[in-house]
Order: sequence, then C-alpha cells, then structure tokens
Amino acid sequence: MHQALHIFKKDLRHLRYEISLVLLFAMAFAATHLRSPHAFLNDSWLPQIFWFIGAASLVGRVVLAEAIPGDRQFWITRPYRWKSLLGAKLLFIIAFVNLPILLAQIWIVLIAGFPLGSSIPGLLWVQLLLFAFVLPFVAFATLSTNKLFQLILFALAVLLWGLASATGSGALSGVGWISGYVAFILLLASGVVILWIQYQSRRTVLSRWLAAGGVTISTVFLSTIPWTLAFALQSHLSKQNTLGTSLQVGLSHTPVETFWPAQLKPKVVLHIPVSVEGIPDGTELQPDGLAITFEGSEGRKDELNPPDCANLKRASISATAATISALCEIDPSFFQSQHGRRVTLRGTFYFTLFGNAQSQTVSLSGQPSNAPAGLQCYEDAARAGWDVYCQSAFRWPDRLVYAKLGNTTPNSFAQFVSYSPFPADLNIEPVVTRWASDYAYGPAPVVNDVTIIVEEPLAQLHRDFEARAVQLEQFVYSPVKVGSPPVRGIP
Amino acid sequence: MSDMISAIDLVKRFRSVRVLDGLNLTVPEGSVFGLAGPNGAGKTTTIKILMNILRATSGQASVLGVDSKTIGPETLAHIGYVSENQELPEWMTVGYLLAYLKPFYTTWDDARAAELIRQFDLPLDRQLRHLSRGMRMKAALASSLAYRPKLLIMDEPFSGLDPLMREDLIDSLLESAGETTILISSHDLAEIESFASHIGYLDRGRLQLSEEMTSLTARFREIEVIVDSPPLLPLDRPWPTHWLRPETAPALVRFVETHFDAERTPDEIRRLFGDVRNISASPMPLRAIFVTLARDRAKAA
Repeated sequence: MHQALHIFKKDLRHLRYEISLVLLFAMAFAATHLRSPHAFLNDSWLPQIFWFIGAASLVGRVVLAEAIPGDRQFWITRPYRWKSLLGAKLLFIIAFVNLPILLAQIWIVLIAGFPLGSSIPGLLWVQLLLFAFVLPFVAFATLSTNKLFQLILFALAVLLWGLASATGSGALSGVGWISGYVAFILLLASGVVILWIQYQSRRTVLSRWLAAGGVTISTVFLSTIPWTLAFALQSHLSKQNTLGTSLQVGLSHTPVETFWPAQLKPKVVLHIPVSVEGIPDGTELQPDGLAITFEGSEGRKDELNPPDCANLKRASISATAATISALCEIDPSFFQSQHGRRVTLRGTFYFTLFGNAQSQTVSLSGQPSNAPAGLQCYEDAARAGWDVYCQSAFRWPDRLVYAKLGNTTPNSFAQFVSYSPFPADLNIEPVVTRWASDYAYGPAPVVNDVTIIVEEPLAQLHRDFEARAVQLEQFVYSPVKVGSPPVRGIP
Repeated sequence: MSDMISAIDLVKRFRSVRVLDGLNLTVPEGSVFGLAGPNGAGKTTTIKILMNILRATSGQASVLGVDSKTIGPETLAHIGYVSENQELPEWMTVGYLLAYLKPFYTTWDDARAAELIRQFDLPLDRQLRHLSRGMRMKAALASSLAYRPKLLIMDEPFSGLDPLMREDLIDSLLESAGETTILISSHDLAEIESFASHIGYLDRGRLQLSEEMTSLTARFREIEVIVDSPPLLPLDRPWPTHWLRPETAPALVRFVETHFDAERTPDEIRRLFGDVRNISASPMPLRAIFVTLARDRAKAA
C-alpha cells in the first residue's frame, strides 16, 4: 500500500495540469445545472464531451506513465511490486475520474430536488458502472504505446460508451439491458484478465489476443443476441409469471390502421397484425417483441427475430383484447419464391403485463412536484403548449408512465421501458427527463394540474401461435395506409 | 568466490533469427566483467534476459542466485541497471528522480547519493529531458549506485559520451567495484580494457572466450621470429593450433601466440623453425586479441 501511494503521488505530480483540466470540466458540467436544473435541454452536453475526452486522455496518460509493452522502460528494472503499480493506477482513476463525477452528480441531484438518501443506490451504481467501464479501457491501454493505437482505443472507448448506453433505459427494447450487460461483463472480464496478465507478467502478445477475443465475443454476443434466452431470463425475473394463463394470441385478419414513419428502404416489409385476447382484468399489455418463422414450399424458411419486426403498435379493442401490429422485414428472395403460394406462419409474441396502477395529481408549475415511482413532474414555462415533464434520478423507472390532462386520453412518456433491475444507467447526466404531450398541434386545454399514472410490470410472458395457408401478398406493407398523425382541433 | 550471474546454454530467437546460440556465461562476485563484442553480437539481448526483461527461448540463467525468469522486486532491489537506450521519466528533475526512487530501496544511502551528486556535478533542479546525454547517463548511474547494489549491469553506457564524461563514469565505477559486482557491455574494447577484471567476448550469439583480464593479456603475444630464410607456408610440419594468423616476409615470420609462456614458446619456435636469429614477443591490446580471434574464426568458417 505504501508503494502504491508513493506511485500515486508521483502520478499526481506528473499529471497535475491534466488533472486540473478534467476537474474543471467536471465542475463546468455541474455548473450547467445550476443555471437551469430542471430544463429538458440544458447545455451540459458540451462539458460532458470535454470531460469524456479529458478523462480518457488522463487514463491513457497515467497507464503509459509506466508503460507495460516494450523493453526500454525505466521502471521495469526497478523494484516495483505489480500489485502496488496496478493499485496506484486504479486509485488514480477512482480519485480523478470517479470521485469528481460522484461529487458533480451529488450536487446535480440535490439542486434538482431529489433527496440524497434515496439517490445513494443510483449514485453508487453509476460509480460502479463507470469504474467497470474504465477497467477494460485501462487494460487495452496497456497493450501498446503506439499513438495510432491509442487513438483507435479512444474510438473504441466511444463505442464502448455507446454499448454501455444500450444497457440503460434508452435501449430500444425492454430486455436490451440483458445483452448490453452481458456484453459489458464479457468485456470487463477480458479487461480484468488482461490487467492481471499485463501487470503481473507483462505478456503483451497474449493480452492482445485476449483483447481481440474479448471485443469479438462481446460484439458477436451483442449483435447476435439470443432473444429467447433474454426473454426467458426477463420472464424469470418478473413478479407474477402465472398471470395471464387465459391469454391467447393469434394472427389477426384485421390489420390496425396506424401511423408509422415512412419506409424508405427498398425492402419487402410485411405488416403483421397479432390479436390478443384474454388480457387479465386490471392489467395492460405492452408488446416487447415478435419472432416469426415462415415455412414455405420446398422446405424453404425465413426466420425473423424481434429486431426484424420492429415498430410494434398496440390498439386496444376492449379491456381484455388488443391487436398488435408489427412491421417485419422479410427476405426478398423468400418472398419472391413464395409469390402466389401459401405458407405457414409460426410466431412467438413477447409481451409484458403492467398493473398495480398508482396515480397522483400534481399542480402544473415550473417547480417539480413529487409523483409516484420517484418521479418529479413539472411544466416547463419556457416552452409553449402543455408539455408535461417528468424527471427521474439516474434512470427512467421500469414503469409505464402516463400524464392525463383533465379528461383527455392519457399520454405516455416513453414508448420503450427498460426492465433493467438496476438503479442506474451508465450516464454522466444523473437526471433523466422525459415529456408527454400531443397538444403541440392545436389549442391547449386549460388545466392547472395533471394526473401522473404509473403502472408496474407484473409479468413478462410469451405466447406461441401458428397460422396456416397464409398468403404473404396480403400482408405487404403499403405506404398508402400511412397518414398524418391525428391533430387535435383540426377535423 | 560465488557467481553473481550464471547462464547456461541460453538461446534466444526472434522469429527465425537466432540471436543467442547456446550462450554460457559466469560472472564471479566482486568482478568487473566486460562483455565485449561487435554490434549485433547479442550483448543487449543477454543483459535483457538476465534482467527478466526478455524471456530466453531456451536455457537457464540466474542472477544473484535467482532464476532470471522469476526476478522480482526483492531481487531488483539489489541490482542496478543502466542502459544507453533506457527511457527515463524525462519530466522528472534529477532531484525528484532520486527522491522518488529512494523509498523503493531499503539500502538507499543518502550520504552516497549526495557524494554521487557532487561527484557527477548533477543539477538537481533540472528536468532529465533538458540534460545532455552524458548527464542523463550520470543521473541514471547515480540513481543506481545510491543504494549500493550487489550487482550493477550496464549496457553500452559509454556510447556517444565525450572522453571526460567517460572518465567520470569509469572513476565512479571503480570506486564502487569490490562491494558491487559489475557487468558492463561495450563494443569499445579500449574502454573495457582500462578497468575490467574479467572479459567475455560475444560473437554471433556465443561467448567465444571468457576469462580474467590478466590471464588473457598474459597469454596473448604477437610473436616475430627473424630467420635466415623464411619457410613457405603451410609448413610440411604441423602448425600449432594455438598459433594464429601466421604471416611471412623476407627473413621474418609473424604470428599470434595464444598460450604464451616465456620458456615454452621459444623452445617450440626453435623446434619448428630450427635456429632463429631473434624472437620477440609483444603484448597485445584487447582490440588486437579480439580481431585475431574473429578473423581466425571467420577463416575457419
């Protein structure tokens, strides 16, 4: 420990100007919230970018201060203990990368009006994620002293950051956090092994192979996600797996007219409607994914995974029935080969039942009011219309959240909800803000308060269904059906 | 006297290039061992294997009784290492370098450090990057001698230094010799000759000879024999294998005796050439000895 502190002090002295700069960026990031703590769009992104670049550079510099690869470094002929050296580097990262962000986040959370006590799990989880994110980066930085490599490494860090964000509530699928976390853990594991090998025995060639393997496996895992596994795990984690035993799913023959963004890609897109009946009372069904296999003549098959069937839209027919529409991209050659023929469709529909609704009416003003699920909601006076904003600390809750203005239909705050069980996402910005509104196109109703409705996920389920003698031409997505979104007040 | 360094049958390959080819080396305690050889002979590779910077492809080496593959901080605390191409932390001042290194060594001697600073006239407040090559080498040496290491390994420390700087470094090495065993590699034989107690000659990855300096210089002599009529070479009698590089001129035969003995060598000459008018035996500088050996080896190859 003594030697680790000694090396740490040396690095502190060596990199004092770089450290000051990174601290300055962290302070600037915190200061941007002082001016407008509740604003949806504040200007904290710029200091965040500078902080990211500064911190990445600082990590690279501190690692290369005692470079591992090579045979000319001064330190390798001195009595450094590898545990002390590695400990010094990690201590440095905790002190000058993690700690400033922790302090900035505490400050931001406090001025945003969130209680510190309930924010502690989120604060700690972000620190853990941030440290776990930096570790592979530290490990890869030990692999070469080449400047081009370090630049590539920086690009990789940016990519990793993007990957890490996939673990969060910003993911386009409720179960996206599983693949994100698994890929993240694989990278972290390879990073830890590389760090151990590099600092203990400086076997850079072996470590480079391990790094290449770790990145490849993580990327492959992320891009070829075993959806069935992810949904099965999510289902296992859900509260009430036995819910919805009477629920039945099938191919609907009455597609829902709905609004989709225009499809510009020259692909064959099918519009698949799925009917759901027997939705339990007091629950709401939220579609998570649709996997389809078409079996055509001569044994030809086309398998579509949930990412191939995006844009799941739900239309409630009654309290217990709904139709889900999906746009699925099908293999054009398969489509051509089955033209005029009948195919068998086998599908698996993944969904979540939400329930246990809680609601709270809050007065609309520029000041945040407490709402269920730890939310704080307000109206932003700086923006026109009746945009209701809700903010959450560290992540958007794994809840369906609606805002109901007067007697209008409840409006959702987010189309996608991450079912991640963790208290935070890897995000420097600790306050997540979303809004609900569809009043921007017409005169706003005159109301002084809004009811925030929150429903929690009760069960993550899936149902298999089959339809025979299906003609694919009947389901071809036609842009003609796409219209403008309904506009309030305009007939 | 025990051995501070011992290497047995060391082989090092870089891809298909065999840089060390079965090297055997022994450095006795208390010696100043000069490892000489041409550029590319494998001196630096040998030293890096001894310091556990590189791994040998095969063979074994031990330093201070420790297998070189397992040399760790405990052993390194007793070894000083100075190399011409070592990357020093150039942002450090000389004073900070010494202060930084001090806690790494339990045997650090402040008085010795102060003495070295004074002896080398080191500017404590100047960053290493702003020092001349010679002064950087002095700073590195001071930081390696201040803890009175049992073993000092130096890789081409005099390369590119002016004569005065070399003298300063050699003086300080001689002061440390005795309590510190020194292994010094150099392609400059004249320098090594001035202070080494033992010498090893490395060529093409093999140690061609290794012995005490006094023994080496005593057994090598350039012999000139003045005869009435020079014999034609090769002779019809067997030419002794320890007589190298024979040359003839009118009334003169010249060769290098590699096992000179003041009594035996003249007798041997007379047995081969009959009556001779004069025999002279001149001591040879180290450089001439190694040139002789290298050319003989090239001829044999």
